[in-house]
Amino acid sequence: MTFATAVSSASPLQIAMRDFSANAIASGSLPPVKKVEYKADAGVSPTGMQRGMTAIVVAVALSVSLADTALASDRSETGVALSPVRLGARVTQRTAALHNEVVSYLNLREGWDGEGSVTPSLAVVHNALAFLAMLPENVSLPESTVSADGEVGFYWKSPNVYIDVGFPAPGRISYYASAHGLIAREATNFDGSTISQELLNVISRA
Amino acid sequence: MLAKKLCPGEAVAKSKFGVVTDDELLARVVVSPRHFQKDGTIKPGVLPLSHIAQGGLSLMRTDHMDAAELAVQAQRIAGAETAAGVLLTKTRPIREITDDNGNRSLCVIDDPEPLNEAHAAAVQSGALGADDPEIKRIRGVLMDLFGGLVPLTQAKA
Repeated sequence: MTFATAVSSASPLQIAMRDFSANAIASGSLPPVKKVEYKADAGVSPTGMQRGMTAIVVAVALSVSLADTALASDRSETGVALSPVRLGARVTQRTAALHNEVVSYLNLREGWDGEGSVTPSLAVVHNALAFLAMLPENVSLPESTVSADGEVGFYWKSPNVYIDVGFPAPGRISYYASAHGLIAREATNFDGSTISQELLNVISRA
Repeated sequence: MLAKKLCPGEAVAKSKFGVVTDDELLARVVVSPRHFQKDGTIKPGVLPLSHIAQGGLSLMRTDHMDAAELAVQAQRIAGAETAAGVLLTKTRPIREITDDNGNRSLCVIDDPEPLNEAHAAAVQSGALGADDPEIKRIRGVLMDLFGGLVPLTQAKA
């Protein structure tokens, strides 16, 4: 299967990602992706191949300004070094696994969690990644979660700590945070550039 | 009086088992891999916010099920995935969850389904609005109430 074949049979999500990447390349914020030929090995279904392609496209589209020390050695699966781009989601070695887990939610199929469950939107995933990127280095990392209604979020849970942060819709954040007696709660707009100090104060106790 | 006003549905029996009593054991099915983190801990997603806020959280009345029926119903819920076990709690602690004003947050009602007569639901009480942070708080309380995973083989022990 070729890249062109994979894209031509893509889902609306994949098409959105393709267009996103194309726009980013056109604007100069992303380098062109080297065309890659894929051989359909026995046992690799077209669906699986498409998901793989989605992951690659997403990885490039959501590629991030890596820490300087990590940048030189980083390579995408296409063999093209990822350049720093300003997408509001900075990945470090510390957050890479969590970042990838959140990105993987874009591969969920409609109905993944029963009737009516939906795939998170790209914008919501983007919001979640922006939040993750803004967490200070000195706080513990959360676990990620995704809900049937497409909300993506993070949580911290340990004795006397329960922090539940979600992105229920593009540009929105909702949280209930409780850590050792300190509580913050709000549902408000989220522009991807700041986390409220009140919430950070609770997270810092987690 | 207030409880009856906020949760009138709790007094209505729809199944042959009658209303859900405070001492009844309730189970929430945990599905693998959907509800697990890589380290084996259970995700809050096992208690979906949208279910707590709107549709009602599906629960099974295990006191009215034998082990075989519990296993069948759990696997039916899991679908193509695996029913790893259940989370268990008594009804009373769910009914004792209150908001900042001291009002009941959730009602537990008898809610039989065509394929499961012993089905109950935890639904928002009349005191709650659609406040996302409050729903998240309730989920946190429920996570603590339900505790850890109980394998299906031990759920009726």
